[in-house]
Amino acid sequence: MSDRPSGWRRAFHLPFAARRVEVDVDEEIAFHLVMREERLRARGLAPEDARESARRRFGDVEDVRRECVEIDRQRARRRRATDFLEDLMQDVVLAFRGLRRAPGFAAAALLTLALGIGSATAIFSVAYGVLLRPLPFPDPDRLTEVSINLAGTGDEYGSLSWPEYVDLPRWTRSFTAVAAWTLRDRTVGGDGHPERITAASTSASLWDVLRVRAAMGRTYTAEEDVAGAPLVVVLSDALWRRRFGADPSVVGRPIQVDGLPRTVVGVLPPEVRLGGAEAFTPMGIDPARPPGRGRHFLRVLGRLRPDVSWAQAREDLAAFATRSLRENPTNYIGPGFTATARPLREAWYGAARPTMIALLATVGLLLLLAAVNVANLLLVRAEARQREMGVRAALGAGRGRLVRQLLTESLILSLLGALVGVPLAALCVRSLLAINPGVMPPGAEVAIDAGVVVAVVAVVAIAALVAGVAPALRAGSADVRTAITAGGAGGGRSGGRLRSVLVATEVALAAAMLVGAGLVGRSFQKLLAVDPGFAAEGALVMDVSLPNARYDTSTKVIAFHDQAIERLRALPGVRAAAATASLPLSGGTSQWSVEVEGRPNSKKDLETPFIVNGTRDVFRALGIAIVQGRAFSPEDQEGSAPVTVVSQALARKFWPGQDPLGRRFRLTGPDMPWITVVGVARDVRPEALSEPPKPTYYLLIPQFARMAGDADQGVTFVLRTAGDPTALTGAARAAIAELDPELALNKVQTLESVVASSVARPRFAASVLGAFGLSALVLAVVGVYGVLSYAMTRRRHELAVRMALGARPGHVSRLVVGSGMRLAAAGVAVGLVAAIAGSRVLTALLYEVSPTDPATLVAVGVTLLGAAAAASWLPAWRATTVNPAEVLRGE
Amino acid sequence: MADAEIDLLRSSLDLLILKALSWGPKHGYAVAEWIEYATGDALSVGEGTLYPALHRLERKGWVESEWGITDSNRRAKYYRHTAAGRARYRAEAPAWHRYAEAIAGALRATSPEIASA
Repeated sequence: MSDRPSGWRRAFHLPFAARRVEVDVDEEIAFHLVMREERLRARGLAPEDARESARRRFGDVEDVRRECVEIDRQRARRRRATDFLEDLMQDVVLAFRGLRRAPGFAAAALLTLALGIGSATAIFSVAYGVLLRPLPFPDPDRLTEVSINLAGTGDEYGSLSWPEYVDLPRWTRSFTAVAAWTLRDRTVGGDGHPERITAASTSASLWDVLRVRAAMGRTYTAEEDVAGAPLVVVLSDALWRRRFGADPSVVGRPIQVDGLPRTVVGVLPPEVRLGGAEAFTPMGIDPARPPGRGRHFLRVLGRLRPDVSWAQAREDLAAFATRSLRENPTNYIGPGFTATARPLREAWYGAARPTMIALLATVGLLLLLAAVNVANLLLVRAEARQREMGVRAALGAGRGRLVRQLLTESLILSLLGALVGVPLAALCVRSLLAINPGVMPPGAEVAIDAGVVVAVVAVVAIAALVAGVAPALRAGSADVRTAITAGGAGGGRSGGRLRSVLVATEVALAAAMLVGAGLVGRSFQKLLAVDPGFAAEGALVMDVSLPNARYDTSTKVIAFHDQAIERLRALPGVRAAAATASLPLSGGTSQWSVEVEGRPNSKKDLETPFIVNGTRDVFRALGIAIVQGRAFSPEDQEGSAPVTVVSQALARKFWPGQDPLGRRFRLTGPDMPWITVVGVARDVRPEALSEPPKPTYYLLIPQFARMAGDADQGVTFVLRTAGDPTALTGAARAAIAELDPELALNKVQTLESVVASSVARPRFAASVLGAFGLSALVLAVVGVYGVLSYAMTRRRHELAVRMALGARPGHVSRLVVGSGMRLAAAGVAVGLVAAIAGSRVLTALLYEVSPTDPATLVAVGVTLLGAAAAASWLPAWRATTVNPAEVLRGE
Repeated sequence: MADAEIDLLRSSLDLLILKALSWGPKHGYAVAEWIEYATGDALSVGEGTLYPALHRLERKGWVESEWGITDSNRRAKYYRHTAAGRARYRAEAPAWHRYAEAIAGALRATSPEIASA
């Protein structure tokens, strides 16, 4: 296009409008005819004849005209396209040149954008995975979890028992199919490398309910889901890849699961995730010996009939509970038995919801803050460039052209921001998930979502465009002369006001976010300060689960426990070793109702207490103090009189104001012996640091085995040591391996890390919100600083005059700091009010901190005002150090 | 003039226009007059076909146009050839000469025999 001479058609701003093309052609043809006619007349033809002859010579005017118009239109279309590209290229080049010339602005804007886009994309992606991503099953909205609420257990969405599950499809009509499943740790082995995995034991109907097909092979059938059927297993995609190297020939082969050979019948597709389970086996319940109605261990899924509403399903289940109660009056405590259904997504991911919503709200604010900051930066830049724009307008650039240039610049900034921000987001997601295992609900999938990226970048780009358009419109309409002559020093007051509003908005957003971060941070602090009731430091724990196949009697299990403890005790530095079936804060709690001697109705009117089975030294190993009576002693044997140690909470609840020692209670069930209380232990928080201690009683594993006929096969060994517990890891593993090399030790960790991971979610929330709050603070401070220092350069003249007239430096700096503080104070006030109104979003994340905690509000206010003062002080100091004479001469 | 003659001319019209413009910018009528003069008025009927040819050349980027004022103070659309147009002419003209001579020579032949070398 370089051969297009200057001053060509474009110089006249002639648009290539369709009408213009036709007019041109008409005029050209008319000119030809007139000229020819004149020539003929000059040769002596009569006017009529000359015109007639000229037309004849020309041929069909209409044909020629049509053809020319068509050609020109094509040319115009092509030209418009190339012009557009050319202008775009020019704008892009100009934009990059402009950014290079203002490196401070470019860096600040890019950093802000990258931060906003990166964090928003990361959090939105995580939240999308938890809150919105449809479950990876066909027609997922019809999937439901059926749960029951037993009075006294405190578990609102409890598991069902086997008989209840069997009754469910018979007594309800809301479901096309129901399925039961339960998670358990299993050992996959047989090749000398035993590995503990999370496995699911399910009914065969699970695959019908979820409508899942195997990616390879098949899922198991109802015929395989009975006792005595050939043993089969279905693998998850992850396990198949990790352990079997994605070998397709594994289907049909037997593998060892908990010491028994099971034939692999299929591999699931990768997107099917079920509570983090990696292997699936049929439950194979023997109908002749079904688990009792009192054992609530099954999670139940159902698929709602297409014509049944949620309300109808709940009514149906309420009727089911009533009928269960009526037909089995001895099994339930009073009227306290209800059943309900809720959407599967809610059941699985509901617990993570409050965290996610808080994070979403915060990152939304951060994104807004980033957008405001970029808008502000663009406004400042636009005012600084009024002269440049004026010059370009004077040189003939149209208003549309100028607007387009600024828009291009904004867009390029946004795209560059996205370029840095999206990889940042990927990094954030990965490190968040790595640092905080257990934060995401098992099975939730988190990936950077293309839709999320597009949405976030669009938000920022729109902000940048709006911020780009405002000054562009002003630049476009600016009186050229004013802009050029005054551009260096002038500029509208309206721009200054707008910027002040934007900065105050930034401060307000930062205040709201800091309040959120402060509240969650304080909660986390309080949580960490909670006394769990046991001594977390100096102890190593490891989970061991004995396979049914080889440890088929409680004698064998107990023998293994004894030998293991003996070996572990002998390790150097070990002061105490014990096994417990329910390690506190690790999710493995169980409840068993009891009947207190002398109170026949105690089973019904007392809350079902937690039961903890352990070996003799469980209190010493866990560091739980005995506050009254004694702990278990060597005299307490399998065959001796059953004894128990109870928690303070249980003693208070069962025998308020009385001495619990010597009292007796018994487990509910047929022919249970009385158990004598011999000691009281300090309260322990079994479920979470944020949950108050529950009534708990401790039994010896051998004595419990004799009463219930069942020894705990999955236990946690606890080693209390004098030194660093991690130093014992190798020796402890070796000790267990010597006893049984086929056992897989799953989690060997310190007791402290058990406590730490129990607060993974609050820590996650606190650290993410903290990071966001800090980013917000930095952005707000940069905003205040930017506006003030820019205002100072604009007011240099005025300040110089003031100082020349005798204003003291202190007065001038007070003036500057004062204007900064006014902005900050307005922002803080609005932000705190907004925070008070909005912090209820955080309620679920708070622990012993009120959403309107005054200390946090004050701290945030003081911090922000202090930061704003510091940010104002630097420009103020600079303003007072100028030499008035120099400034005034320079103007 | 016979139809055959018009077809022949039209195919070489592009070349004639480029030649006409080789002396400097001309409006369409001036191009027509030059062709009339240079070819002995071969285009006396269907002179208008010159215009689609001009516009086509413009679309191809071989000529460009500009509105200007004639000596008789009329607005007229002036054409001039571009660098690409000049290059095109230089490439086409010798080819046309060879072609024309070959055809002319062939048409002058008097014997069906192929002259032995």
